[in-house]
Amino acid sequence: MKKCYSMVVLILMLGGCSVTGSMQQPVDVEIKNTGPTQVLLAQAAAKEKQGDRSEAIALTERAVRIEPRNAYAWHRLAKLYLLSKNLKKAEQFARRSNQLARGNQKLMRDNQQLIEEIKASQQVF
Amino acid sequence: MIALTSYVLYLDHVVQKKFEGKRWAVPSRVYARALELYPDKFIHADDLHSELKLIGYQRSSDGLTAGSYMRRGNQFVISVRAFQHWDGQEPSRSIKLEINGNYLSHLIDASTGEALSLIRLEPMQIGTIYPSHKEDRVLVQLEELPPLLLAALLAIEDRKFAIHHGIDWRGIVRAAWVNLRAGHVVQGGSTLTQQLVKNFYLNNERTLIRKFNEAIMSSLLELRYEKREILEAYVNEVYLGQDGVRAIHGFGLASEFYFNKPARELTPSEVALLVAVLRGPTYYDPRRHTDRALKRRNQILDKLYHDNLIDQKQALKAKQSPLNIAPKPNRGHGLYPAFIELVKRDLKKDYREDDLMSEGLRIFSTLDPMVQEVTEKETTQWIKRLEKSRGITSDTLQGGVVITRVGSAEVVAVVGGRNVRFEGFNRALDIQRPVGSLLKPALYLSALSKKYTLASLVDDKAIQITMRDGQVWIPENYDQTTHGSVLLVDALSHSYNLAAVNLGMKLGIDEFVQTLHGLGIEKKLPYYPSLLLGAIEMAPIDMAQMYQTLADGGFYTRLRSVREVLTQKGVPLQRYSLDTEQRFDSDAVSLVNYGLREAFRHGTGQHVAARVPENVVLAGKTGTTDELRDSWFAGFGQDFSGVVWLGGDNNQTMGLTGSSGALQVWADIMVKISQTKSDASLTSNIESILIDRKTGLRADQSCLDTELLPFIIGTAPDERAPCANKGVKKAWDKFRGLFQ
Repeated sequence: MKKCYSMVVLILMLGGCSVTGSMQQPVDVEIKNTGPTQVLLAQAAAKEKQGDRSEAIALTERAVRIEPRNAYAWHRLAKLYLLSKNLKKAEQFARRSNQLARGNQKLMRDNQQLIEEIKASQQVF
Repeated sequence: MIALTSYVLYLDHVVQKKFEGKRWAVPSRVYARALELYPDKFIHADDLHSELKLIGYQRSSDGLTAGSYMRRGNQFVISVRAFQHWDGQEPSRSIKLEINGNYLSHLIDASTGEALSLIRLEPMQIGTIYPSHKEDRVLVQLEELPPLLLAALLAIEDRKFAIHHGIDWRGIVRAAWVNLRAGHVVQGGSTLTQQLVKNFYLNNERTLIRKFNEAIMSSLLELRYEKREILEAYVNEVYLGQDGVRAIHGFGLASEFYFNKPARELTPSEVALLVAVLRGPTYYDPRRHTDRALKRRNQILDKLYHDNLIDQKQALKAKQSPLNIAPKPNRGHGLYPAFIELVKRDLKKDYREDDLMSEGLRIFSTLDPMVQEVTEKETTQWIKRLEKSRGITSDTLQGGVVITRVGSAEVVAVVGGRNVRFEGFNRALDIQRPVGSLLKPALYLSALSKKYTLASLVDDKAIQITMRDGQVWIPENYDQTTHGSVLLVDALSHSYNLAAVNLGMKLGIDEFVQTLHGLGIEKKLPYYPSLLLGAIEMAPIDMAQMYQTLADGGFYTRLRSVREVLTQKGVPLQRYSLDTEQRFDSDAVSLVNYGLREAFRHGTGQHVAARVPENVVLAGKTGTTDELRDSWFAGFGQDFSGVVWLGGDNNQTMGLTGSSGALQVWADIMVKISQTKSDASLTSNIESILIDRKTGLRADQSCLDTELLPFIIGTAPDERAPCANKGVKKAWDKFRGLFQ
């Protein structure tokens, strides 16, 4: 019995030789349905639908100002610039979104896809 | 006869040319950011109250009149004025809100009870960019003025305006007779048209030729233009007061200047007062000669009642009301001259100075009045406090501060010196001083972007460098000792000079210079070793740009002071859109930022960190220059980044280190303006590993001196420290013991 106990202690000790922990738990960022950012993003989407892209960008930037850590708002900005064919800005905003996504896998995939899309279209030209 | 005709034709040309061209050089107006209100917003009730006062809203019993508010504890009713922003008009409405525990908990429409998601208050006007003749005006159309004002103007100044042809001959004769009998001038005979001609085209000379020109030009003006156009020109031209060197022209601006409200909201008593002031803006100045102005106002109210322009009830009420003059708005000179200077410089890239002074542009800046007020207060108080406690000669310690917003890189506050209202030398933008250790984060970023980690050992040992000219440079640590092999994180957080020089020489100066440029330093930098210790002169705004890039995780965004420019009529003209560029790996930057947080909590900032609440996460670096001439601190929290410089204008020794001077100011500003609590901002690709501080290798619980450090996943050392191996050895001995 004593031997068995010692074995468990040993395994625990070996495991403890390198103490690894995460300082930043990956958090799946929930995109709020209400709140100023969402209101502005909805207004921006409506403007985009009306064909007023520059207004849509202005509203999205306003959302980013209010909530600069909202990775989704940066992603929207990237998309709007992609639609405007401003690839440089689109890529940079997608990167910014990725930086802030903090474990939101779906958003990170979307950003990555957007960046790849940009790279592919740059190769075409 | 031919000569006279030619002269009249010439005058006709003059009349038309000026009336049809750009009539006035209208100064540009600069606004602060508009305060956004939404549920869950972090805001102190007192800060909201200050903002309402700053934008000139009047406190009232119910807060239901446009431009007024009611406060009861943490509850507010605010009647927001309509305002044209870049992305549309914010409608005029009354809102009700409550603040609980510094968060906005309820926001509803006061009349419908409907919940509101987001509203904007009108922005505070923070300055005017006006031409050298200092005439200021806000152009209005006749429809924007209360009908009573126009009626009162005609009743008092020119009863025959509708029918005369520029000159009222009967009026002139009558005035001459009245004046002759009185023995001095008591009545003017000039029509509004003549007054307009005199002010618009001529001057105040009392000569016959001037009088002759005035008569001819008035007739020509009436011949050429509609009465309506002439009246509109008059209400915008007329001189109505003086604010220092700034001349107040037109009813649009006079209404703001005296009552802090748009002209359309003027009450009968206010209308009467403006018409009273018109007769002699200095003589009837309501701020200096209250009784005189009140008496004249009441005479005008009597006249308006007599002419049936107001009824008895209105007349009585108006006569009983006090003058209601608002405190003088400090809009002309600019409440925040140091910030306005930055706006002017930023706009000069796109606008001619002439246009800025004459096109009446509406410039929407990034200034946050709440942050600006805190920054001013802390800077000026600390400067005085430090002078007293450190025995510095009174009035010699100066300062320059720049605060920016993390994420958007907007400059939100600028202090250019200890006298914050003084429009003079702007130390935030223009002072050039050695920046000392403020550059070190760039060195460590260079290292962490390569094979280094926070646990890498760096030599903090004596070094001599022979320069190209044969001179020998022998750097020293601030405490004049060496610390041997130290962890890179300790070299950064304790700001060891020798470690920095040894590491920098190993990495190469060019690497360091490239990183500095990447962080946003545009100045040409010399490739000499002492650059590693900040032997280069720069301004606080330069350092603000560098630290902004760190705060934004390696994304460079050029600092901005202007968001949008609209024309005088509110038509969108130019928007300075957000632009950003990833220049460094975010993981590497997050490690540098960890080091800067350590510097604040446990390194050079530790004695101040003790008074900072644990949940306010701050990171930053001190900078001290030779003989304690300059005291710097630069760093950031979760919402704002900021740089403080303290020193003397004559480059004299002030006896302040970065830590004993600038850090004090910086910390108190950041604690007061920080909103986000407890967010360490490490990227997701980071893991934390227990490290033996002596060797920089992996540790375990059996090691005595350890530290949990962040690493980019996969970069932590594989090798175990001897103390950790002891743990394994012990375990192995125990394991062997089991079988013995």
